Amino acid sequence: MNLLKLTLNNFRIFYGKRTIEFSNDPDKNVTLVHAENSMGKTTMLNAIKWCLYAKAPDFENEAKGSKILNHISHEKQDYSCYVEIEFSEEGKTYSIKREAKEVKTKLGFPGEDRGLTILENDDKSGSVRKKSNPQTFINSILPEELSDYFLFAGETYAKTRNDSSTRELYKKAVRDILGFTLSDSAIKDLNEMQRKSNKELNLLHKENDNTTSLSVEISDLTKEIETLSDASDILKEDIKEQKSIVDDCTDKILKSNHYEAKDLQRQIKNQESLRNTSYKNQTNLLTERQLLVNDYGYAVFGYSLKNKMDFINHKDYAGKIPGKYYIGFVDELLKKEECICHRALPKGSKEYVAVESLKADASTDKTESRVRTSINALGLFNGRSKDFFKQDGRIDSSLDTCGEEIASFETEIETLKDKLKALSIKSIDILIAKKEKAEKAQYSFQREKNQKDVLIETKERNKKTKETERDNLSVDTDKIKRKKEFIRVLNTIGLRILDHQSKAEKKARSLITQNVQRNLDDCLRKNFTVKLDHDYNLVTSFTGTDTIATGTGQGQALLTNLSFITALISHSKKRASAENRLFLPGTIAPFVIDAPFAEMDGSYQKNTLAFLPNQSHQLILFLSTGQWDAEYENVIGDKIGKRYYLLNHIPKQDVPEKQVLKIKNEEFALNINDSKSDKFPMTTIEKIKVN
Amino acid sequence: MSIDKEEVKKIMVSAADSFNPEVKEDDDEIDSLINEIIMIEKAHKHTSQGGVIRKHEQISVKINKFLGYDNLNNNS
Repeated sequence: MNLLKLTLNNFRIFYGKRTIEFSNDPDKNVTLVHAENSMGKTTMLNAIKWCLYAKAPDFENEAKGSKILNHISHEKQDYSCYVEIEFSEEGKTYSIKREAKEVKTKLGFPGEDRGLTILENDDKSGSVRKKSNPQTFINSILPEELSDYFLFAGETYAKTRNDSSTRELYKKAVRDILGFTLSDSAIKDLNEMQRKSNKELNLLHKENDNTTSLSVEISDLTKEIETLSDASDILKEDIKEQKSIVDDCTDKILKSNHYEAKDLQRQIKNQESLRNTSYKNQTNLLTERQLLVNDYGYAVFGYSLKNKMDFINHKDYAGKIPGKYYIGFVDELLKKEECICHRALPKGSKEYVAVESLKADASTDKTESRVRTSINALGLFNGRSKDFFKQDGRIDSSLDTCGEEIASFETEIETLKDKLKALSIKSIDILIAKKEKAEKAQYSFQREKNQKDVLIETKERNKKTKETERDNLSVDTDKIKRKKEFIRVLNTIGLRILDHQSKAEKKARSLITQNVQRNLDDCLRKNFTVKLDHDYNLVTSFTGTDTIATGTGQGQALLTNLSFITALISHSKKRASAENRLFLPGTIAPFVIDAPFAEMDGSYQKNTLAFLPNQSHQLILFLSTGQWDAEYENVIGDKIGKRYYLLNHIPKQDVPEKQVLKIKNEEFALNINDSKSDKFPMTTIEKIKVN
Repeated sequence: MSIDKEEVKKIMVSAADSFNPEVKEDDDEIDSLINEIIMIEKAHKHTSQGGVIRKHEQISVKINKFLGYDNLNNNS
């Protein structure tokens, strides 16, 4: 996806039709928009989101009201507004337009697709056609779950992904960007088909006399598991609902007029965020331990076996295991026709036959070699298991640290909550009570869900046992044999796809992590080591330790997030022409950033500006004039393909405070008196010539 | 501690045998079947719920063909 043009019509502070064209020159891939605060930078970013997904975080609550419609337009009784985005994708140009109309002070979307139309222009044939299912199409190009990352608001970067459903969506979106969409979908389909085929197989077994009763039991268990899974899904939604009440109450307290309450709530939120990071870290460590067991489990078994079988060293086992006699030795006696005690062993004699019968229990080269291989394997297990115990010990001590951290954060949270209650502010107390009620409900639903999940697991195990029992008893008909074979292939394909995915994902994770690490090393003063957890969250720890860098500043967190997205874009860009059919070519999307330096100090800003254009495919920066330094011209100047500033038109009766943007030796006034603006200010987009 | 050495012998022989990875699916054949399934997934990228049933039918046909069954119903 390459953004070509954005048009805003009567949208928020933009009166009339205002258009901005974006740079598509690969050598000058930056479009830079300068503006004073509150002049429309964030509106432009949100307009893109609104056009693509019919929602935008900053004016979500107003989406149904009239504030999206420009005030001047409203005064002039022009009640419609729209945002139009033109972009190119795989040799075609698309025009996405979302329109809204105000009727009786309520803004609504006309038509079936929430005011959305997409026109597809085939650049080769010149044909134009309207896309059906426009919203699905947008999500296939830039998934909504990732939109906050590609359309990045620096000031609200700290979006949390604490609940599992948000984490799942985010993880899916990152996997989509990495090209896993089709293989993920195939695995989902194969699993569904396997479930259906297993049911059909069980029905076939029902017709079989000796497996009828077991098949009935399996069928009952399947139904019970399905009912429990449905109930678990409903509880998941209930948990989500209660969580949103908790978040809503927290936000309301944070936005209240009570300074002390706000401050305490902010501290509670910070402590909760730190506690959640520790929880997340704890979960990661437990997953890491699980993976360790998967990787080394066999070796740990081997370790125990080796200890139990230490008596099998060579001097002890020789001549005993695998046989008391070596076959070559017995053959030699028979060939010489002479026993070890020098008695003659004439062929056909009773003694000869007795010695010959020893061959049945004698060891051979093959069995000797098997024993040696086994001893060597046990030795290898022993070595590998030492690695396991070393790493497991490290995880254990990190888990202890996490446990201590969580306990300390919990204590601090309780103390702060007591202080908040002690303020005795009626409106805040109502919110606290509502929040506590929702937290209790959330906890109770979670407990209920956990119980159901455990029950599902038990029943699944029970079902598996009964299936094995049934298969042992079954006299397979042709139909049963074929169905079993069909299920076996479904399973083999699924496992093989997972294997391919796991290798590709490992490679992608490693490249992304290296890229982020490089950026952080270039930018930061302290040494941090970066890891990507299983949900694709970046975890930074102090180099050489397992201590998670939870207390690092917001500027660094912002830098880490920006760095992750650029690494993702960069990796995706490299995979743009990937020919492996299993994975879609990497998604190419522009990186649009509002206030990229929100919390960063000067040294981070300069370094960030250096890596952003190099690693992005197309970079659009909305930058406040206060964050622009003439020195940055040397860092990013030759990468700028198009450049604009937002001009504030002030009603004629107001006296503007002089605001000027200096670019090289030129000065641009950022506000003017405008006779056309009677009551309300408005913003226009002005082009700056790029050399 | 008394250990049945005959039993140990059996364990050792079986452990040594398990190091011989001869029994394996033909990866190339499975991979080419996977490619065909991925092509079906690609064709159904924006499919509706009704399309999912058709997609599963198409995947079934490919697997049946892979197994040498002549039609869809032959596995059932």
